[in-house]
Amino acid sequence: MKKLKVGMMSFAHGHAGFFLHWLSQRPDVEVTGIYDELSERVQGTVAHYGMAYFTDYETLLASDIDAVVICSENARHAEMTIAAAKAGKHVLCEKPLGLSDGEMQAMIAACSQHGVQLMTAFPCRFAPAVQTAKHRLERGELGEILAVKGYNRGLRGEGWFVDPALSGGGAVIDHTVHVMDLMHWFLNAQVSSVYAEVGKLFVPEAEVDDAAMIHLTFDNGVIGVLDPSWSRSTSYPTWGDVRLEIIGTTGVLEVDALADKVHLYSNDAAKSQWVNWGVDINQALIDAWVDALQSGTLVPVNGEDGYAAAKVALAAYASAERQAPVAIGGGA
Amino acid sequence: MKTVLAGCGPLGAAYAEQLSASKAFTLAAVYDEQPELAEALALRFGVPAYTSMQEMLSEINPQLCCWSRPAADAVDLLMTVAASGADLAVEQPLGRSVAEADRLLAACGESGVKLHVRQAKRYSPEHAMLRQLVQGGSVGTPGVIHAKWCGPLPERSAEPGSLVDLLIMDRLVEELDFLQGMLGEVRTVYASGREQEGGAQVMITLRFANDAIANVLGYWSPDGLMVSDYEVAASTGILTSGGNDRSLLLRRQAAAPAVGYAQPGHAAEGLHYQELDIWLSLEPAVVAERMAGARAALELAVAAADSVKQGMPVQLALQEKGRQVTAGS
Repeated sequence: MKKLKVGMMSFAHGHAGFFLHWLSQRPDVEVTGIYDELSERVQGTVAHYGMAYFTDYETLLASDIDAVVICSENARHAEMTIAAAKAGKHVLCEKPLGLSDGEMQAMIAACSQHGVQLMTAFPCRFAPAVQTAKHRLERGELGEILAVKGYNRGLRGEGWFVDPALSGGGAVIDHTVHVMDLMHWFLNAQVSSVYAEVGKLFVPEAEVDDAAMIHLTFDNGVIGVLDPSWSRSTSYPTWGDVRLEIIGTTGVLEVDALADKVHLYSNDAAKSQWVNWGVDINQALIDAWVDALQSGTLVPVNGEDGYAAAKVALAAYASAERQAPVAIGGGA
Repeated sequence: MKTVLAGCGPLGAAYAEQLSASKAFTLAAVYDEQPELAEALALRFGVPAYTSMQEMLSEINPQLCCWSRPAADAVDLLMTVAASGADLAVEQPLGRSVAEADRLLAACGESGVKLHVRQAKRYSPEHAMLRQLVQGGSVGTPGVIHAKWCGPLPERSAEPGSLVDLLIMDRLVEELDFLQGMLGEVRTVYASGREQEGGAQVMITLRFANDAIANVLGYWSPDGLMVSDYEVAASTGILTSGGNDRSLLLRRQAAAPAVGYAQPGHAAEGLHYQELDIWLSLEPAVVAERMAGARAALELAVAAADSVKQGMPVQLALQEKGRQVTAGS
């Protein structure tokens, strides 16, 4: 089988390291080079994998790669995705897909126009509990779904994550999208209205929000709430959670995507820790992406999915500013 | 203290059990409008049964009447009890509206009787410990809080079109009361809810005067299971109580009890150890404080029910000195 040649565009987001690791495990993938404007950020990685380092992404995109993984700051996703599309490269873009309707529409349009696939990095889709939940919901085991509450809480962002010019916001833009995407996927419905309370509750002097409660009304009548707060303390046993409680007419399904864990109590850490024994969802994401590109099939999570999730986060900010519910349009 | 019990359902039975075991109270009679319920409990505790409150009041002349149901179910009847000179012990909410609660409070004030409001959640030992830890600063400044209650739809209540209101007013009022007691005054309430035959789901977000955000999820469980849990995420730590630890938990109607939960029968649903002895012996100032808390919780519940209907946030007036309500005010 022909090897899929992949370039890495920016290591600003820490997920880049996970994605690169799992790409490097695939015999049918060759990661040829890394672009990052900060050489010190990728020096160790470049040396470890023995790959080319590029100080500008144009040169990387001019090479014979088939696809790129974009893990830049949020504010650069659009620019890089559109450049990659124009160069004819498939794109796996870190979430959130973009920071405005206009730029996300332009990203999707550019990929479509140049015949490349755009996948949004939503690894939670590939958690076994989430996959099982999807099957059971499709079988109608809860009857009609009526309401859903979701949680994607995490540790506080650092570095560019708390610089609004690069991140576009705090916890809301960072953590709404994963579980929002799962809700869209489970419900086969889009959000029609959003009400949000947003605040800077954990570090009040910060430039970006760190806490929120987002009420959702879907176009099929389902009501929901999502908590995207950076509310995990450093003493919490892990980085955060991905949880949903789905209430139907005949049952309730509780999903915890990160519950496949053992509890570690070690004197080396002044807290208990959860150690995952389950599927590595980043590996599953990378495998799904590579498999789709190698087989010429559609990627399982596309740009439209990323856009649909991100625009709920944008609506949450708008709602908090207006202190009123905000209507959002239909599908992406 | 000569005591009568009104309401002979499961909670009434728990009341009767504690009253009969107490040295401070003498269970003198039981009342229920359903004769079979009243008679069954009367037989068990060897006291007379009544289906007329007026008759029981005039024949027994009690000092205390324990109404083991929401006060809101019978405000006028409770005003009659207050007029007879008996102290009252009631479950939340105090009324279906704040005005109705105020009528009851005024009636108790005029008759000079105490109105004990149970506030089952706020003062249960588990929740009192949560509150103590939060207010003692064990996790720093509270930021984002979650509460959940789900449980069986009461048989007596299945009136179409009222299940969201019933869920908020009769059940989630306890969560609102607990949260307000722990976190202080609320400035904004936003709630969404929906209802179907035999079911309702509600999500209430509270924005507190101190900026903290809390969300309460409540629903009538399709499987009838009662679950209650909490999480308080604060600036230096996290407190949790209850909760499910499974990656996937499916709870189905008419299925065996779900795996992974503690047994239903949470303390807040019944009575915890010696609760009545402690509750009904409180100093008048504390009784008044609890009354004020219950009235404030009712305000929140009414605001939540209004928000569901209007689809808009409800802004509440803040009272810097705290809500002051005393009997007769």
